[in-house]
Amino acid sequence: MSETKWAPYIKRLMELLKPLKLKELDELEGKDIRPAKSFKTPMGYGWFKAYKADKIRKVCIGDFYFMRRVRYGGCMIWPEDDYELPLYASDWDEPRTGKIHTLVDLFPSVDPLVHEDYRIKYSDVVEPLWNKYSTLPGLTPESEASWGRGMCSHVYTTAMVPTEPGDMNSKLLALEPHLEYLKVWIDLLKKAEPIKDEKRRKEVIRRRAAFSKNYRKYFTPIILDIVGAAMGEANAKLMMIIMF
Amino acid sequence: MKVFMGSSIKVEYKDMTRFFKEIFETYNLFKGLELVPIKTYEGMDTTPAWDFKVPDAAGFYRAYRVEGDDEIDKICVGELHYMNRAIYNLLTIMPTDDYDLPYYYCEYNEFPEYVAIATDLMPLVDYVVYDGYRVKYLDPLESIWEKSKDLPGFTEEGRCFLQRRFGPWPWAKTTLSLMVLDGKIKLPDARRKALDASIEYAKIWLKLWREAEPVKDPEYREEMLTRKRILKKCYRDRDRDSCREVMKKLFGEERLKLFMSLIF
Repeated sequence: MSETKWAPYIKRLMELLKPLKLKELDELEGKDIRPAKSFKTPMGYGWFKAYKADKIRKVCIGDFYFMRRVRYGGCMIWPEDDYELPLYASDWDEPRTGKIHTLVDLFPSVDPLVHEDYRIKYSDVVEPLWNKYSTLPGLTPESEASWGRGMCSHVYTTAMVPTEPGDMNSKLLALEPHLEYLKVWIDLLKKAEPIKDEKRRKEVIRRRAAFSKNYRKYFTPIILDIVGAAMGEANAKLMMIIMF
Repeated sequence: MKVFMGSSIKVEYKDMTRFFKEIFETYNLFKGLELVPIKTYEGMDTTPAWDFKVPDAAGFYRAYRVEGDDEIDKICVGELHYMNRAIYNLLTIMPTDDYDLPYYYCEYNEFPEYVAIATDLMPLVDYVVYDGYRVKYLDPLESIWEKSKDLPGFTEEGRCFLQRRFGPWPWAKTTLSLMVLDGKIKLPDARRKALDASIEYAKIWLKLWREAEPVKDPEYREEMLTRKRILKKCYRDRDRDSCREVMKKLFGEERLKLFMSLIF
């Protein structure tokens, strides 16, 4: 089997994240997360890490290579409770051959219908990207699970991008929205001011808690079912704590 | 008569769907329910909406309540025939304030070249926070959504969820659910299938309505009513696709206000 050239998903994201001066975390929610920083099993290998930064509760990023056939990458950025910034959410499922499942979004931290000011400030700025990537090959609504699609904003970009073996151009094309959405998010981060309204702050905390709860409720069984054995159950559970 | 124009097909005005007839006769959607015309709504006499005619347009927006029911605020069925060239159809169902049932919305605007369609159960609460709402009210649509999202027109640009028709209006996109079917459909067979899907959505809504219980939690109710008020205000006050401006020119401000109140 020839060596697979995987997309530089982590590398490119980390290049953008590096200026945020990330501090790596060893513990989350009272749990030692160091075992997840690098692990190997007979069926795969990977790592998941969490970092702290100014105005950011955790930057979560990781990669898992399953049987050298599929690579699962992801990045979630959870702002501090004092900041109403959206969550940066990026999912990257890259098979050795075939279609890359790609999804990127900025999850609103409050209901964007009720809080129009929020929508204008945090979602409308993504509209140009949402329009730009409407021509991404393989564009399709997220349809694997309604809970997943339900968490997305109205400007999420997702696709099943077709690739051929050795075809890096298609991979880079699929990767571009992840980087561009992240650039927008970082720009919003730079301008972010602490929330002044306590009611709004409570809404932010509640909605983020709902994202976390929904992910852990619905995604854990899927992860355990698909890659639990390959990743090792303990690593899979740590990954859920790190990412969500 | 259907005229083939390259890959698209034109449907003449006389052959376009007569929506009201389809709803009440072909689909018999409200079979078993006694629909009572609403004569006044929010202090307005609804008679001018019942049947209207102006130089370039004719039609109706007919609003009903259901005899013996206090859960449905109004069912509105409308047809607006414009210059014998297009028919703007809609069916909406709004629950009363004691129920968190979604707002059923279907617009089916038929032109010779295509049908512009949007069908949804617009959520009245934030279903990220209230995950149970999605499970209860939106997940039942999933199989119809799955089956219908690939109809040619819904997926023309790869997007079904929040596709292009609502694209230029971010405020409108935030009112929609994850199950919205929205697009422009050209082929007559697909037009019919899209209408079938809209009716299936309505049937699901009616099933949910039959099982509905009044909201008990005052805090949840308050949140629900806030969202509902904002949703209604958005659609009543704002212009989407220059529709409001055209309607204002045709009917004047007062009648437009009446029509919008009956629809939303």
